[in-house]
Amino acid sequence: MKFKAKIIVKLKDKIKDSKGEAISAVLKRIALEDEANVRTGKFFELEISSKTTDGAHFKLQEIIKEVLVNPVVETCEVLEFEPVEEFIPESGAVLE
Amino acid sequence: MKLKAGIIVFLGTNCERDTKTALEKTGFKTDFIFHTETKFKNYDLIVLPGGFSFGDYIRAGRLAKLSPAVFALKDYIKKQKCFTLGICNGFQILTEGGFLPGALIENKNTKFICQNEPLIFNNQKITLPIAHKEGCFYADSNTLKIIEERNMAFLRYQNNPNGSINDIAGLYDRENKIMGLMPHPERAALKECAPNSPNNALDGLKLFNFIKEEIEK
Repeated sequence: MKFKAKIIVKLKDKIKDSKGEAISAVLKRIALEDEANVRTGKFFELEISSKTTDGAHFKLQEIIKEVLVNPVVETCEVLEFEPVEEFIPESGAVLE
Repeated sequence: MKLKAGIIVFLGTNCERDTKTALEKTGFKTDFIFHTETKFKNYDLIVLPGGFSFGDYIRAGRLAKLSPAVFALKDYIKKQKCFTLGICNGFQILTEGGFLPGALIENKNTKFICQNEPLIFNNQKITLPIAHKEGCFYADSNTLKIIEERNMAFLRYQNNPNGSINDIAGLYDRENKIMGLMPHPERAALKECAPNSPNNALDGLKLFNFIKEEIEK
């Protein structure tokens, strides 16, 4: 089975996010929001192959731990984690 | 006999030639080690040079820490008891890989900073060039306490250009065998490469000579 995961990684709240501060300052300057407290992050979308949901979940946690997140400064949030519906042609359909 | 240094070259590394030249001027024999290699010869020093390994994708140093050569380096350091030096991107790889404590995050002014920077090295004022965007050193309060108690920060900024905690520019590991620093000593080791170095000081050589003396101890 294939699973699709969507993950957001951002700096921990206590760590200064300079990009976010720059964006907040602009929002204030153009009078859209005075206290936006913008926090920036990175978005990842990936596919995982596994026979079971548990197996896919384990793989996802390993990917997050080993590759996507540095726990010293970052946290992550899994926004979506669900099986991908595979395309099965209707019986009798002719595939060209 | 000459000391031997291996310089690991990743895809996107760009300071390996300067590092090689600086090390040879200091008296090392040098080899390049490609990041896919897992068996190293006998080296006294392994260097992770500066650059933009794997395009700095995800974060600086993140993908390089997963290279075969870096996995091999973990065992090699234990077995060989060699000295390890990470310069700039090399320092980022060492923190990402857990060789050194803390992490390097984006500079507080969000800019890429490229300039000569006054530093304190062993109670001595030196100047080395810096060139980085993710060079702001961060460590939580417990880690920082250990760093200060054990005198692990061997290099500090005088004017802290990037927001590093406690002005830390360079760091030892607990055994004083692994060194990481954000400034580029190899860019201040040759007259030809450092025409703007203040008073033609070539302070980078002081650092390489210090490492040589540490190895020879």
